Amino acid sequence: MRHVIAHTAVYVIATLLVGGAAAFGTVRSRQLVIVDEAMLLSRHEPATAHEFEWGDLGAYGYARNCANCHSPDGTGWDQYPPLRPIAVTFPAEAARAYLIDLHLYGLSSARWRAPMPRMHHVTDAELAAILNHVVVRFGGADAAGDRLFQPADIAARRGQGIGPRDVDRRRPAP
Amino acid sequence: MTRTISGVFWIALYLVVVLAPVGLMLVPPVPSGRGFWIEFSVALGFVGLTQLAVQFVLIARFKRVTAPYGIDVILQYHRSIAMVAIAAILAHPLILVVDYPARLELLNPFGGNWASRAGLLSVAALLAIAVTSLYRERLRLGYERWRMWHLVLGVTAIVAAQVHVSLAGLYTNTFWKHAVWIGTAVLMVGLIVYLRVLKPARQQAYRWQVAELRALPGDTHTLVLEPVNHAGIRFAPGQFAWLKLARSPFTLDEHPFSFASSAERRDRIEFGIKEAGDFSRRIAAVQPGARVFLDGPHGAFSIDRYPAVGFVFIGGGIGMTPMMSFLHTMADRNDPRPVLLLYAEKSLDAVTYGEVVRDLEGRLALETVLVPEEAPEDWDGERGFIDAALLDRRLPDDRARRSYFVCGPPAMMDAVHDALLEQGIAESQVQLERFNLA
Repeated sequence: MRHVIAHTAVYVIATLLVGGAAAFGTVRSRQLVIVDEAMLLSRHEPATAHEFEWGDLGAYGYARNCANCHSPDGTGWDQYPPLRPIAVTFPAEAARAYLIDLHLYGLSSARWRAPMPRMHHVTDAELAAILNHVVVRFGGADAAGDRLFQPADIAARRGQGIGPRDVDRRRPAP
Repeated sequence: MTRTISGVFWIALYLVVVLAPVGLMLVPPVPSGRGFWIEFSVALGFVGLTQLAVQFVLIARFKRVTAPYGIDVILQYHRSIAMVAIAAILAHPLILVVDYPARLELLNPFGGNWASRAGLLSVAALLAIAVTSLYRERLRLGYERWRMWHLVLGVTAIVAAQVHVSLAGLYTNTFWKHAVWIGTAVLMVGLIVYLRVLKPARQQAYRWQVAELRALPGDTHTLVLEPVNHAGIRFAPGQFAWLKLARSPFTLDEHPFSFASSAERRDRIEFGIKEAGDFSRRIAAVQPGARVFLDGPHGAFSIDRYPAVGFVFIGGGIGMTPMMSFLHTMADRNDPRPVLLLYAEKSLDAVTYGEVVRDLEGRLALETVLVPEEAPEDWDGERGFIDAALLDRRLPDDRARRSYFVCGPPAMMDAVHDALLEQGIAESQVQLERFNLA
């Protein structure tokens, strides 16, 4: 009797585990978990160019999506590149496109032994805010500059259908 | 009733623990939600890791946790659910690579990053655990050596997995989340220290010595132990203990044996040991006065757990030892309840407890049916295997109300179990001792 119950328990627990993981995947991929006000606004009230407030959203987005690998102050370690030297290259048009693309399509190159994963699930507003956070706070760009990233810049580069190696080929010469 | 309550309590706690990481991961700040397959795979990794952690609790032999179910069932569950955990953990990198093939670089142990290397090490350790456990005999891996590797690989798997989570973990993005995961892993490794260091240290004060070694028919010995400067052990009839035959209790060389003696005698206990493996052969050569350590009592196969108006004991070969404990205990307690004993053995010469059972018949309402697999022409009793026909002939009229205890070789237990159900005996009235505790 006890053995029969234990066998049943294995199937029940296994189903619960896979079901729980699937439920988690669904909840997360549909962005059903509302995490804060800034996120909510960035999703539902796209701002116009001149009033895009990226400050808090950028810091928050960087902390929760990037800091774990690239470290909180962007110094990088192991196979995670430091962001400071990358940040200063940004004003050129090709470098701007490259920075956006490597987030949307990932990056795989011979320079590093691990690929940069795709971050295409991050919203236009949050990704623009994060990029601004990096180029201004790590790269020393002008915080009020008109070359800062706008959500529309991100949106314009989506849907190219390219892969992480294509992004590497398009990398502008340093 | 308290046993039921505590059984339900531990299962509830188990479910909470098992699904806790999924909840913990949803506590802000959480990373932006990625696609379904990535998040699904990450969740599989986390629940797999939690299951891995739970294994350490399952094998730590906490009596309070194992008592409601019986440790044999807990270990059976351990074997099955650990495979589920390994499958979940294996699915995690596979899904990630299929989702984004550039991640193939991470599967190269000389490429990738420290997070991926730690993950690979954990997966390699888990695969080694699965292979050595499933195919131990085919690999000709000795039990003690397997045990040691099982321990080393298990600790490697959980430590490496924890390092992987800490380095790669987007979901351990705050100090306290880190602390919860690392704390749990440390606790689990601590359980190994408890089982292999602290518990043996406590056993040092509860030494036993061999009082006598009696040879019985069927290559079997009765090992009689006496406590050294302590009151002995309180056990329920039919339970078992892990036995260490060594100068020191800090050894991985321990083997489970059922008590064969009366539960009413705490200070002179007996085990029935058949010469089969290396260890049992060594026991057969042991001298009186030799030092022994016990970890027990364990197990739920006991007449004391199941109230009944009468019993049917079905034992095969060395599987008779717990039945002997039942019978001796009932005799000492002047238990008037009727018992039918079906005793299966290879041949009449090999009947280990024939004489003992005959003595007990005078003290109990006991009816014995010997079932030798092979018997001489002039044997007028039962022969062959215990099947539905034999049960139909021999089971008493009040068969539906009796409690059934079956212990023997696995094939025999399966056959007898099915035959009993065929006779209309309810599943809940049949107790099996599956003595597979490796």
